[in-house]
Amino acid sequence: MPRRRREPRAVAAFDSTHDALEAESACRQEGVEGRLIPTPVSITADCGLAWSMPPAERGRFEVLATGRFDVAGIYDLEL
Amino acid sequence: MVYLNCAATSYRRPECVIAAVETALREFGSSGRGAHDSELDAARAIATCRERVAEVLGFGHPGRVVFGANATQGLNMAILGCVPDGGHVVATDWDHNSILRPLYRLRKRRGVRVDFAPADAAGRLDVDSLLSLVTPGTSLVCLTHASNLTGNVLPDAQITRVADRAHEVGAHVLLDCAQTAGARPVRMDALGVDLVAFTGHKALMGPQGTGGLAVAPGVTVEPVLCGGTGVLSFEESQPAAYPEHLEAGTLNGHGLAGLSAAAGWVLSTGLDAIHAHDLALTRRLVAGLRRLGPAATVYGDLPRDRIGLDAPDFDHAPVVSLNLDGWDSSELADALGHDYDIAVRAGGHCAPRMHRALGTEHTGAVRLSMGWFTGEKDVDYALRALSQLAEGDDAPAPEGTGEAPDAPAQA
Repeated sequence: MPRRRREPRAVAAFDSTHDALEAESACRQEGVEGRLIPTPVSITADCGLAWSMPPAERGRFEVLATGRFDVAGIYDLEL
Repeated sequence: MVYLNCAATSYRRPECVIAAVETALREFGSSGRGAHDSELDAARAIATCRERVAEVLGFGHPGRVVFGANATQGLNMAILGCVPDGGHVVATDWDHNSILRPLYRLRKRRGVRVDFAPADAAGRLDVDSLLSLVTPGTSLVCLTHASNLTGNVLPDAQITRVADRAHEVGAHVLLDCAQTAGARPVRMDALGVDLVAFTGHKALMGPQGTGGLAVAPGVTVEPVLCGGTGVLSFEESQPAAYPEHLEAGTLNGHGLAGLSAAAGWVLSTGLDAIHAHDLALTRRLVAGLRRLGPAATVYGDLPRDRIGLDAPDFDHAPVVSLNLDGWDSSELADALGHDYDIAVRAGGHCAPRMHRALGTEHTGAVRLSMGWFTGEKDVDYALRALSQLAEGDDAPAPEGTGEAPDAPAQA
């Protein structure tokens, strides 16, 4: 078994690295908790960055994204 | 930090590279756009860079080393500039998207036929199958010198076979050396290949934003970009003479000054010495991964035991990809990066055909790649981390090295 303890996360995927970095910048500005991770294979085996956050931050993140950056999807995962 | 993502870009650079870029930023004018010392200094630095890169590539015609932003640009120059409408191209499952996407575009927009030589589930390329695809009417054969996913290297003898066959039917051979230029001798002239694409920022250890294409004499490449060259300003078409034929617009003189210093450093260090260093690390890494047993799936054509790894004919680029049982490859990369401070690369590696051949299209893989500034302690640290992750060991993370104490000294 992996050594990491898994926990529920809301993971936002992006179609471009630029959007991922915009999301990080916006989240840091507004205090939305989370960090960038490699996009989980369960979302796509392609390359890319995703924003992993506690599920409770999802609502604030969605509001923050509106008009600022594009989000390809937000997924509920155990990571 | 332990940096094992050298196949993406080198992390550390020789000090002489940093100094050369700084000097260029302070002192250079624009190459080919004037005759003041500041402009001539830029032009001289770029000319020296051509000579050194040509030597790294085993190419006797420095004036036909064309600079661009990276290997991708060099590959696009060659593919878009060599293949006629309705022509035929042979490529392989080893190829990176920087070959595949231009070819797919040509297929869609200009009626070009593209055939691919397959790789098997171990990533081995079937060269006989490739040769059978090269027929009268083939314009271009694209080869990848070393896979950016498995690290397997196409042997010189096989490249020569392909070049001989291609030339029989009047086709050119393009060799993608993104993973090999600066890491081993390329021997462009001896191999008989017509076009070599290279990048400056990987094993060559120059700045990002440098790379290009070496074009053998007699090979016609139509320019994709047209524009100012500093010569023949009243001509309506791009000058026929190289390198200006394929170099429209002001070059990245600052970056090329760095690449020149880097190529000089590589040549003085010795391509054979760099290759031997990389090979020793690869042996160490693969042997360590084998000790993890069936928990680690290592991709590519690799010896199964130490005897095979130590065999004198073992050859490999310093690139190894794997998956660990029980781990999503992206999550494994994140654990290595976030918990152990080891930089690796997950995902598709811009190598979709190779992933399909290996059966990793839906899982991805984690790639560990090394270079001159990688040390044995870095490899050992990564192996301990992988061992802990494979076993679910609750022990604390091993202490990081952060440095490569056994890496060779700076120039």
